Amino acid sequence: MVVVGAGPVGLTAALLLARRGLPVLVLERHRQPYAEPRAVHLDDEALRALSDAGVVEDFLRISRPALGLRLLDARSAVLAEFGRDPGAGLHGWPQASMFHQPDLEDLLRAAVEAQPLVRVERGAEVTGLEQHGHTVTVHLADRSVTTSAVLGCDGANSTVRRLIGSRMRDLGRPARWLVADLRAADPLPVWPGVHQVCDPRRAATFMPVAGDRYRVEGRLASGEGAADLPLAGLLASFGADRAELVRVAEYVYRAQVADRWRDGRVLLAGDAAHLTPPFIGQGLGLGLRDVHQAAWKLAAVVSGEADETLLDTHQAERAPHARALVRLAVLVGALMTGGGRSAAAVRRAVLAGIDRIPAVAAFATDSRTPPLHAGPLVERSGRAGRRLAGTLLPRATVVVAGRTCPVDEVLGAGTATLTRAPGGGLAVHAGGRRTRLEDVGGVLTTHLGVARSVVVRPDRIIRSAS
Amino acid sequence: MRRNDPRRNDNAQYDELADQWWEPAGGFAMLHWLAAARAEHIPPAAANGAVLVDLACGGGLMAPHAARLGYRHVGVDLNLSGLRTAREHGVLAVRGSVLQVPLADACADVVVAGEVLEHVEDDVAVLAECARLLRPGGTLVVDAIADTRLAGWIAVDLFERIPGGPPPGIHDPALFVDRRRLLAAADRLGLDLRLWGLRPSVRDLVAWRRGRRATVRMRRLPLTSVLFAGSGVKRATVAAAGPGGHDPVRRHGSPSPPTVVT
Repeated sequence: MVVVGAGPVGLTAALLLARRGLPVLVLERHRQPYAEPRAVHLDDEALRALSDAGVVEDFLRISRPALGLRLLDARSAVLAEFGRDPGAGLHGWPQASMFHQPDLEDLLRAAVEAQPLVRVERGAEVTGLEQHGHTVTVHLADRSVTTSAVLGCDGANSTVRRLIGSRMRDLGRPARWLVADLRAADPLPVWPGVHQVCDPRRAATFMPVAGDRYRVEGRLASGEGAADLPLAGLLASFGADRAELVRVAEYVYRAQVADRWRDGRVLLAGDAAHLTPPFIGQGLGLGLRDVHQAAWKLAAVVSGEADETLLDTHQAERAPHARALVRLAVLVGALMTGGGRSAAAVRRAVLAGIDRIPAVAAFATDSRTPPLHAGPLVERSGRAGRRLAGTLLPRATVVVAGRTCPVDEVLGAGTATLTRAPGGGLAVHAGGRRTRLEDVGGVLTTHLGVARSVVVRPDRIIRSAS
Repeated sequence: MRRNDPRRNDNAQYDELADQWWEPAGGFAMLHWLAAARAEHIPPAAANGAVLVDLACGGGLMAPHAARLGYRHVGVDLNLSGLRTAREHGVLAVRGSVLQVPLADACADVVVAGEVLEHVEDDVAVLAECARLLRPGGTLVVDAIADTRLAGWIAVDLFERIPGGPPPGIHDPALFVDRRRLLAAADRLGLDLRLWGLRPSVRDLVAWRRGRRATVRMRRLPLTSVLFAGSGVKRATVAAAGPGGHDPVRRHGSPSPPTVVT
């Protein structure tokens, strides 16, 4: 297996594939890791990928729970505030976590170095791909590598995407933002959640990241340059004027999804397949979901456990999901920062008290993402199937023969069936074995609802329910 | 290139025989004896994680030997039922053709191509893949049936009629291996290949037939004109017409033109 790109998505993919026994060569074009932060948020569904890659404990050490969202007007008055419970959610982790991306990459690199099946080669630029039968030949500047499949995790300017003739399709207009990363020697006296300034003239975001790091972002109007944004004033408005500027960079926020995610045994994942505005914090999370769901399929096809048609489900499942979340990010961005002066007035009126409506607050802070569309591996039929298939099974804590562990340990690495056992309790059929388990918190039993049995895929997504 | 008899050497046969791989007295019994004979020519793994690539691994019969010698056993086969069995025996299964192996150049410390050269139309293309996969200094071990009338008579006319012999139709004498051509190709590909003959021990065979022995030892024979084996080391430097000198794709003519993804 060759993974192109040694960013967080590529390295997670390599770990997931290696855990399935596949030797992985990671090819990275840049000689040095990119030390600047980009992603700052992951939800608890995306942590499932890090968990199966064996690094979630390390991640929890470098991250902190996100504490909600505050919407502000142009004069920094609070329009609405959505608090988020920092405690464990459905999967046993905080529903939203904030982190400094270089910390995440450091821990992934350490995990990769400790994994003998993964080799990372830096300064290796892919120049061509050729496929014959069950092989893919990856051409580099000085040689070529023959392999069984290629996963392109090579980011927004993906070479793999270009080589398979895939193009990005716009789902929204690009917007230019100035992003500043900050550090503060002493903790800043700020509200600990994300601040969103809903000012159409100067949309801005401020958030404590993790540790001593903070981030501020401001939208640039057309024709404006980085120097036109009064950064000092913006920082002061959040009470962050004492912070030290670490880096200021201009970004173009795009809303795009690739039209083709696969050619034969070459697949795209992460930013190579989709770009999203940051408003719902899904950029990296989408990429981790991609590789979590692609890894077991690739492993099955490469080893001959499954036919190559299994790879058809990659785009069929991931593209609609990515499109839905990118569109949601565009919508949320527009609702929070779009329109003109009259829109700002409407927003003020609508938002007054909206955070006290429980359903709205629950929606605003729910980390669950839409279920995968129906397909060969998502059987959304029957009452239970329509409700559960395509969603992630909660990573509940269970007790097996007196031992407490996450349900994933019982599910194992393959497909498993979780059933209500006669006489109460639950049982898992996996790998030819049947294990009785006690659902101590009742999370699984509640989640199953009317379903008597669910089939869980290797990526913990419910395939069918009855 | 040799022509295949469509009634013989059908890959689907292996699916029907899938439960036979690990039967000590089944249709593949002799493959176990050959696997043990092959292992005698494989040096113990020099380093942790040394790789043994097993071309046309079938049910993974080399697995106990690879494990004993300390290798990570990578098995390549087209047949899904064989790969499943191999996986159950701890082999890292990779689906692929022995003519186009989906593994990187020089990834293998040892390449084993047992009883496969006489099942393909272009045996030299398989040998080229062996050379490509081997690191310099790596070891190649092969065994196959020679393209002699004697071999055809023994392997097909005689053995396929014996109860407990090879499954009928498994071999096509038209594909049996021209040893001289193989040796010349090996030299061109940078492989110092040496061949010798193999025969089962007659005493063991009798005891095995009577159920007194689980396996039969293979004996070395000066005559390579029936069943032969060979081993060799990949030279550190390759002559001009090295692995690139023989292009298995162009020469063999794959059924559809290669898809260039660019």
